[in-house]
Amino acid sequence: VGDEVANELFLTHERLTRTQLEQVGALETKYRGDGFMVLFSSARQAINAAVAIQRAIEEYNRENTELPMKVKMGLNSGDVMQQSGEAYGIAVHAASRIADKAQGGQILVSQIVHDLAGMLPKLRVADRGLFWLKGLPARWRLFEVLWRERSERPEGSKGRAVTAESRAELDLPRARGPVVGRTVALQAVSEEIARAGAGGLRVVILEGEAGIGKTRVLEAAAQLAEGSDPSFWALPVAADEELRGPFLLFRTLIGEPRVSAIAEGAMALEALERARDALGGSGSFRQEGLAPQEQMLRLFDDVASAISALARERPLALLLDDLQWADEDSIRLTRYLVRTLASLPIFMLIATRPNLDSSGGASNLIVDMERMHLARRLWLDRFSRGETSALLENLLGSPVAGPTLESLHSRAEGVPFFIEEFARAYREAKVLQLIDGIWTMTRLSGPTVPASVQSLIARRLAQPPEEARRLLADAAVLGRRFRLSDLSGVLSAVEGGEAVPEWHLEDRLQPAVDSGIVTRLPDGPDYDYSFTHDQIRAALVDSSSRQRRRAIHGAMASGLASAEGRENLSTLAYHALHAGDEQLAVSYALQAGRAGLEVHAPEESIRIIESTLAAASAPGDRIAMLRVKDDALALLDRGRERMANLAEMGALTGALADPSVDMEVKLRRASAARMTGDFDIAAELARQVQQAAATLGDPASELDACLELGQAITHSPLGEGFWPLVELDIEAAAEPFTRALELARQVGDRGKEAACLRELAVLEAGRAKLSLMADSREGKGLAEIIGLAPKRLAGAKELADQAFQIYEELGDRRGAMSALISTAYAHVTDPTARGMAGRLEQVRQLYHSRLTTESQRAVDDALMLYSIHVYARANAHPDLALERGRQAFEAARAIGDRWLEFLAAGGMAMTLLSLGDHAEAEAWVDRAASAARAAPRPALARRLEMWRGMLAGSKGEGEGLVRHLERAADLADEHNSPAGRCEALARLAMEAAKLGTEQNDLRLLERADAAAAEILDLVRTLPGHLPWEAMARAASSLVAHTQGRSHDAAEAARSALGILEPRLNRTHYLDVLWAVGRALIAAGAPESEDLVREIHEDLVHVDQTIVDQAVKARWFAVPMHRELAEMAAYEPAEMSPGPEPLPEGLEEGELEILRLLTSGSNDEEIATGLNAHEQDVHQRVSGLLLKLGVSSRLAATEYAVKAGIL
Amino acid sequence: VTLRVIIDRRRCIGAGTCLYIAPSAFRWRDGDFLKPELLDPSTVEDDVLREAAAACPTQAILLEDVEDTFPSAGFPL
Repeated sequence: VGDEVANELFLTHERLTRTQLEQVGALETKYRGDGFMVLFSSARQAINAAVAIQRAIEEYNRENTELPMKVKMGLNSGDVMQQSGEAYGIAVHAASRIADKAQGGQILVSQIVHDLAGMLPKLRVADRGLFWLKGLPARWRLFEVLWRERSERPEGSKGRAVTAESRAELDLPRARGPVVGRTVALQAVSEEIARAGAGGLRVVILEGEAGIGKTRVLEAAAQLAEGSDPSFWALPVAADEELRGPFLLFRTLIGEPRVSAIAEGAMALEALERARDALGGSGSFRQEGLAPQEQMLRLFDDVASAISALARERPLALLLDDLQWADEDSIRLTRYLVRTLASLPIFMLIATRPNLDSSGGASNLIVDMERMHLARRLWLDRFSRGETSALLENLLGSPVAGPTLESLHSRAEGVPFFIEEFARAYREAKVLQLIDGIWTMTRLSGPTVPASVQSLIARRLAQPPEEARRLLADAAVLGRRFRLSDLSGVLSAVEGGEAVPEWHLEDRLQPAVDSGIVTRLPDGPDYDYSFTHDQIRAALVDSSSRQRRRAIHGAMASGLASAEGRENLSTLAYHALHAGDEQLAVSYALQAGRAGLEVHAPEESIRIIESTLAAASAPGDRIAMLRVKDDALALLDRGRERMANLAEMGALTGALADPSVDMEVKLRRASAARMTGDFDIAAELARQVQQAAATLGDPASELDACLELGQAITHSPLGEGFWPLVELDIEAAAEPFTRALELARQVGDRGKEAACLRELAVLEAGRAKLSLMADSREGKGLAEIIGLAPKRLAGAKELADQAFQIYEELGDRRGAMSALISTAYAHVTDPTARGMAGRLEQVRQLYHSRLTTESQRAVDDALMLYSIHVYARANAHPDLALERGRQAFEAARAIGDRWLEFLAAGGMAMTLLSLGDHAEAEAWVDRAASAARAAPRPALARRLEMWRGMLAGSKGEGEGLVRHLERAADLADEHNSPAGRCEALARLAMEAAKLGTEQNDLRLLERADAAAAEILDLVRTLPGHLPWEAMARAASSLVAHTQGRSHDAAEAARSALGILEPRLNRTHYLDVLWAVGRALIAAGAPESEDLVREIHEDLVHVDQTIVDQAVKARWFAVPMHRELAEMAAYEPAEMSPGPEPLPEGLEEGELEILRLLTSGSNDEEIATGLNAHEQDVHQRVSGLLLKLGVSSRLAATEYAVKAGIL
Repeated sequence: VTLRVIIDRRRCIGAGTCLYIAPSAFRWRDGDFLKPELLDPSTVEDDVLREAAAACPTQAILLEDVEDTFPSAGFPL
């Protein structure tokens, strides 16, 4: 409403209220223009007056329906201090906070008012639950006085409809449970409390933007202080944005009844009385005729004495909230206290928003305190996704689904106040619903911005002067981030006249920076300013007229159009669209969409197309846009959406009457059909197009149709299949590709030619393998078949090589790689090669010889060695894992990649643990640690803790196991990695269960159970079928089994199996299989028969793939593996005796060196023998001597003979 | 996540090391050929994604910095 009408309203409000107040004889102490502060002599009087006023207003509203008035009221009771007609004190402050909690037309009262008033005739009172009131300790129970007669309640509402609305609003308490995400801040607070308790004033300054949760930390600090040893008196007090007065902060603090209550000794009471008098203006020094300066000092002294008297009784925690609003006198007094009370056990926590400190008093105070080394400054950041998740779970009592979390987090941008308010509003609007124990948003758009958030934003926007606000509204139209040059250009284009210099704009924006509406971005080529929150920007955009927004968008679009650059395209489309230039918007959106596809950002392309599609009216334009969208959806594998999109595209082709577009859409539909698994439909569509194209004499379309048909038959997208499906009719599949090859050559499309060649190579290799298998069935021996293979596979290799050549010529690396992998698949399968592992080795060799450039080769090879190591480790090929792991480690060192060095060393350690060799594993963990120290990265610390924990577990050290793995879980929390936490806990559960069983340690078993329980909670918020859940269930099963609860054990084992079976590789998780086997086989469960067969299969696989007999012996000697073999009654096949297990700490290579040493070889000869560099050998010999604890080569020889190694 | 993860299925041969390292970021994809697809890369640290990429035997996992590839991504439209 306009100013005049508002004034009118205020006056009416004033008149109505005053009339009622006079009738009850209340004492009005303060009128602020829109609010009264009134003192009553009794609770009943207060309630009656409040009701009378609400009714009078209601009466007024009935007659003035066009401009109704709504007043909120809060009533509280307590000691009040008065000075020059104004009231102060904590009770007054609380009353104002209670009123803040009310909504228009609502009367809220505190517990004490409720109790004092007793039964009220004709009035009902409803308990509204517990609330945090800003600046006040503990939560307050608030009651609503239901003052409307039942019949008066608005029409159409049943019973308590009016309050039902407020009920929902009031429903969610501000926050529950522990403080989320403020570990670092609270840690610092604890430390400073401890230091203060040990004697000496300490200050913590808490800074951060509005809504970041400073008050919450303050409250937690109060609890920490009270709970610490020695225990503190915690005295919280908040400065107020609206209530200001001399020494208000301290008058409230000293005047609080609790302060008198805690002062036990007479001295403290007396000092307190004096301070109260001094602050109240009746200090004894007033009579002495002192100069004002002197009087001030005496007042300071009195307060300081009172506080020091209190602190001498018990340490004191002064918690000052919103210091930016404190009056200057209070700041000066604080400064004085800090200087004079430095040696007392006082902890002071000051929360402030530095930008809003207009006088600068608070900032100067803080700087001074820092200079005196009394203060520690903490900045509260916005929440990460993980913290948002934790906050929501605290607030709502259950976890929140992933997409819902994403939506709430991005809307609130991690500002805790916004997160809470959005959650509250969405829950109220029933958009947020509890489905199967998880909060889920039923639609992700959600209702509008909650009123509480709007009002916070409005308050913030009210801070800068009008001129800055107008400038901001213009800037907001430019986007979340904006450049001064753009703003300047836009302004001169819209308003005419000279361009405003940038420095001038900068000056005008400064107030907005000060009040935290925008931030200045670091100097750089990009943007100059950013709005601190998109909700603020949106509110500003709404504040300017449609016409002006259009003009600004128009100016921006023409400004951007002159500046070339791909990064501008989507911005351009956006501005052109909002400026009303649809043609331009469509053209830029198309370019932007294509650019998005080029850089593999399909989501971005879709976003741009969808936002501009409505502007495209010509069928040609629409088809072009839908085409881009279809390409993007194809990249994202979203077949169903493609179908919907293509249906619209198909409808438009009629308008164009262009057969080639018609065919294109059909082929797109075929491809989408393949994506959803409808291969027959795809093939049918492709055949139709092939015929049509042949009839029309359109070889390009026929080529595409053939390629599509081939893919539909093989079920494999171009370039992606490396072997034909077992049931595939190879001849039928080859036909379309053969025809496509002809056509590609005819139209000269080299890329498609290569694609055909590669597909034909895959089919040819399949054909060759089928014939070899037939030979085998006819009784040909293995050796004969291996002899035949190269010739049979030659054709496939030749085709793959041709494809490779073309891709190389075209510079298509992806294509070349795909062709090269096909070549690897066309190689003879050596019976000793290990299936996939052998294939990987093949790829590695080919890659090495053909693809990489000299400089890249070392890096690529290190990576490939490492990846084969990981594969081998995961799939129980410990010998290959050891060999490649060590090579990867050395290669990583050679290229100076500490990270890879770290990973390889850790991988070695884990492989060795799987062989039961902890001594050697420990040496490798140490190597990993030293690599991590050389190149620290946060995620490395977590990995390292995991490895150390596993190592401790396998050494039987329960304490170390728990400590390291718990640390790993905590680190994951710090990095906001829920999956990392889950992984660490899964390891903890599994290893603690194993060790607890082994050592019969009840505490470890309990720890395992607790970890398992937490995992089950955590996985609910994570997607997919996670092995960690299987591990948690397996651990529970093991614990139950050990404790003799065989039914529970079997149940948990079944769940574990259920998770493992469908989607996960069993050999990756043999320990799960082992635990499950224990429970189910022991219980004679019906599943155990299948399980035994599966374990048997897995062991056969392991047995066949471990080539190194010594390693195999070690693997099968590990107790867990031995037990698995017993379960499946499996004997490893003809395990040749092989060399004895190596003496502790010796590795394969070192044994060889030792042999050569004892045979009298020198380094050079050893180097030749090992095919290694002499220098390496020298180093390794030294390492060997060190390991054996001998000083010379001779001594090493003696040792070797004595130890029976030779 | 600041990293965009792309699985190049023309290189992927389904060794499954990515699932082994980051089972909440990758999963097996439905279909005739056993190859992984993205599940939720935001559940793990960037470094774990890098680890998964390093452990891919055919280097089929490509990581890109989102900011670099498309500066206007996320621009309110």
